[in-house]
Amino acid sequence: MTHNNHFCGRTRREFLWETGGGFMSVALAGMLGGDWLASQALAADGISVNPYRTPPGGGPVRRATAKNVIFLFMYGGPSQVDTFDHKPELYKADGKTIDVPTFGRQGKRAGGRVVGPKWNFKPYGQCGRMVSDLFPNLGQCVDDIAFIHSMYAESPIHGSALLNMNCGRLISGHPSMGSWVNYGLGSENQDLPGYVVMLDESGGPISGAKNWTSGYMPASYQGVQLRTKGAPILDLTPPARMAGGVQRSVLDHLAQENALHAAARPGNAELGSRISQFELAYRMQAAAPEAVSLDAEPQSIRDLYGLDNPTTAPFARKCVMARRLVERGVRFIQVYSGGGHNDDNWDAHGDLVLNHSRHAGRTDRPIAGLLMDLKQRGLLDETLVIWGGEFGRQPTAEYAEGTGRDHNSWGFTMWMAGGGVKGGIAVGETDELGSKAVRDRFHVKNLHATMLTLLGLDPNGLSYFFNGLDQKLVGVEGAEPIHQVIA
Amino acid sequence: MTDWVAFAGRLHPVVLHLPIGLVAGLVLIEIASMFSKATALRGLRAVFLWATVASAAAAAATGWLLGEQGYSGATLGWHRWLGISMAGALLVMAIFDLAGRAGFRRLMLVIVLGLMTVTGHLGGTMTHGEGFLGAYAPAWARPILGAPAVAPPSGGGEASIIIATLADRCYKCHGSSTQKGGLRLDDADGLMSVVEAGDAPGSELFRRITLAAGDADRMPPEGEGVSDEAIVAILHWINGGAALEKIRQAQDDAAAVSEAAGAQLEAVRARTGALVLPIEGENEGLLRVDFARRLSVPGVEDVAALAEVADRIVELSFAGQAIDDSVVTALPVMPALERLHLERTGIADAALVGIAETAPNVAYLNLHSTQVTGASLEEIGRIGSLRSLFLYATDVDAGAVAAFEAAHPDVEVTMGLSLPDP
Repeated sequence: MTHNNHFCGRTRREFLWETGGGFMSVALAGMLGGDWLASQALAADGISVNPYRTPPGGGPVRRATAKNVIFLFMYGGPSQVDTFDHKPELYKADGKTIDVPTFGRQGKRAGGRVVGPKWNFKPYGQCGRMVSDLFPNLGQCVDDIAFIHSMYAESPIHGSALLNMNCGRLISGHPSMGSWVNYGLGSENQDLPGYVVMLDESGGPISGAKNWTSGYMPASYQGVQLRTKGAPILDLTPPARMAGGVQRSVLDHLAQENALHAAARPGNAELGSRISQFELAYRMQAAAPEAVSLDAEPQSIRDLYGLDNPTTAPFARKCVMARRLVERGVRFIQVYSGGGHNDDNWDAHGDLVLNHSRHAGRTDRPIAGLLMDLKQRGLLDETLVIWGGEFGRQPTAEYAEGTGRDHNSWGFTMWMAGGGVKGGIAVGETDELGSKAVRDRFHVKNLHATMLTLLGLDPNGLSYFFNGLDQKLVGVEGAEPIHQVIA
Repeated sequence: MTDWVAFAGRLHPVVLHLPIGLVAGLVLIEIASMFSKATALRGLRAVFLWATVASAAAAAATGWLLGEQGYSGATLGWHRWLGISMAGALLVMAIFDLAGRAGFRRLMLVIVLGLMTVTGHLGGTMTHGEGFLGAYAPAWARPILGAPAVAPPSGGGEASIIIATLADRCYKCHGSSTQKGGLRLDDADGLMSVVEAGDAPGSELFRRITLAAGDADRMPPEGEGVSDEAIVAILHWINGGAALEKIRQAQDDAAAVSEAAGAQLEAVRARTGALVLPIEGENEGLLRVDFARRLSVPGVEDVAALAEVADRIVELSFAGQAIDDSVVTALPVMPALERLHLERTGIADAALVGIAETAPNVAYLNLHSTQVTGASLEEIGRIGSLRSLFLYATDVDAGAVAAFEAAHPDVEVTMGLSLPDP
């Protein structure tokens, strides 16, 4: 063939077929999709959510078993083989140098020195699932938990992997899970945000607010950061001189001025969003302090969550607050364990024992307490609890010395409980070293699809039209939920 | 105030007709060249083709600028990208012409025609409103061309005249498919954004529809103005306080013509103040009713309104509301009810008298943090379908629960849970 017959690496026939076929299919979609267009226009409006109306995302399409989600994010990446993925063979290989391909922040390696699991496992509950000694309290709850041992993610690097887990993509700018849930179902709450994020005392995760952004959706869908100390929401408390009806009249006047401003700037949905957010903030001033105050919690609850133990108290506060928010109709709550850098989170590159003892020690009791408390209140079967980090860790050591493990996105464990999830089960497997998911592998997208399905949404139908695409949390390609964990 | 960018955008309606005419010319030339080998046709075609490419690019550019001026919605997105695709397809066609590939050039012309038809139709939809093309088309063609939303019949008071007028004169530019100026009038928030309750002259809606014909701000911008009858109705409604309920009620009545179920739900929502949510898509039958988020405590009269939809309720919640026992006893019989949330309500035993008749098929009964005592267990035990009973933080004693569990092995009773001491 001469060079004339090639264009962009294609034959002319291929090129024509692709361009022609592409244009025609776009045109066809435009002609056939009248109803679909109308429904998308609904979604594109930026008007605040009216709970009495069908939500922009269309509302549930199947019967929901979960009404709320609590996502316990173990930032840094907990090691699966030291927590919930029991690998008896790995103990025996401790210290041996073996050939096992890994991919972490050090790049790809062909093998390394095995670090055997540093904790023993024992069976818990009626199901007899193995849990490491890091989680003696959580072990009591295994009959309500579905473990997914065969998770994999697209990146072994914190920043992109966090975005992958929270927003479904490696790159910035896409809405996070909580935004999708509130877009799909609407907020049922008139005086609290539908999406709340609580961070670790040591700071936020890498990329900060990108992890709870609403991306290309209206700003009213983004996560609101709730703090456990001092004012729960920054800049929410009105100054003393605004007492009485002053603030109300200021807001009323502001709304008038904004309306004038808006009239001269037609089509500005963000302005409408802003006005409605002022009103939400006003109502939150009354509702938020009560929602996050733990004064009314009895001693039995303080003991259950470990609120009086200085080690567990910070995470316990967030878990109690999460339950209180669920009771008040907040749809999506994300709680971070770990923040900042290095051993302030689960990122155990140096001393695995120090790191994981610290973070499991801080969270084991509060998480078990949360599951028990939700259960005794009849809320666990309406509340989906998700536990996991952005990835797992390697079976081999990162350095020549020490027990530190590098990142591993090829295989890791997450678990779900409540909200219509089968309890006492485990799905998927990693290889015998726990290094890579080998059976029933599940991408992060499958986890997202499972969550949306339990909430009554169609993961492959819930879409937001942006940049010429039907954007979805699970990506335009779609994803199946993990059917094995759905009761 | 000169805004050259905005001005350029306003040229789109002029510029866009150039490529349309030129494409028609291209088709003629193409047909002519099938019958004639005259070389003049080739030159003419090249001139036309490049002029079409240039004008299509200009139409796309001005269209982009116009699209930024208060248009929104997916129709705009499709129109925009298909229009740009058409300009691109023309460029490809011109390149094939340069390369002397007649067959490919003709193929591209067919594609361009297809894109132009769809793009033009979508542009027309944005300008003239949904269903403009199909309005007077033969009945068989309407589903393809798109028919306008049928205005609800008038008669039945001023509120229904308002609804009919909005549907007839406003929704095509301020409705579900197009929101010129970002305004949606088929939405309560949108409608109220142009209404000042009690002050018709100060309301943008009233001002715009009463301006003289020819005024740039008059609405609707084309055709006859809003009828006098409708103007009077709107005047009365706004000056009378612009009660959304009246409009809602009229909307319900209008919707009843086509969707009786939807109107009924709207009415129940208005009367109960509760979330009344279809559990599987809109109007699919079964409902979840949630009083927990209501800002004021629901009373007997609020739950009475549930009677209309009682046989469709599968979930009902009063969680956290300080309701009286009488609210529970006033509930209608709900044969489909599966989940009943009465937790954190402070109700006592009196509330549960007759619960087996009210909720004969309930499987989930949550009574935690209430004043309920063991005395209620006999009444609860009559519910044969019960599977989960939550009694955490109640006055029910463990002995009574043990006896209950023995008598009802199918029921899982949850009292307080605890973890081993650390």
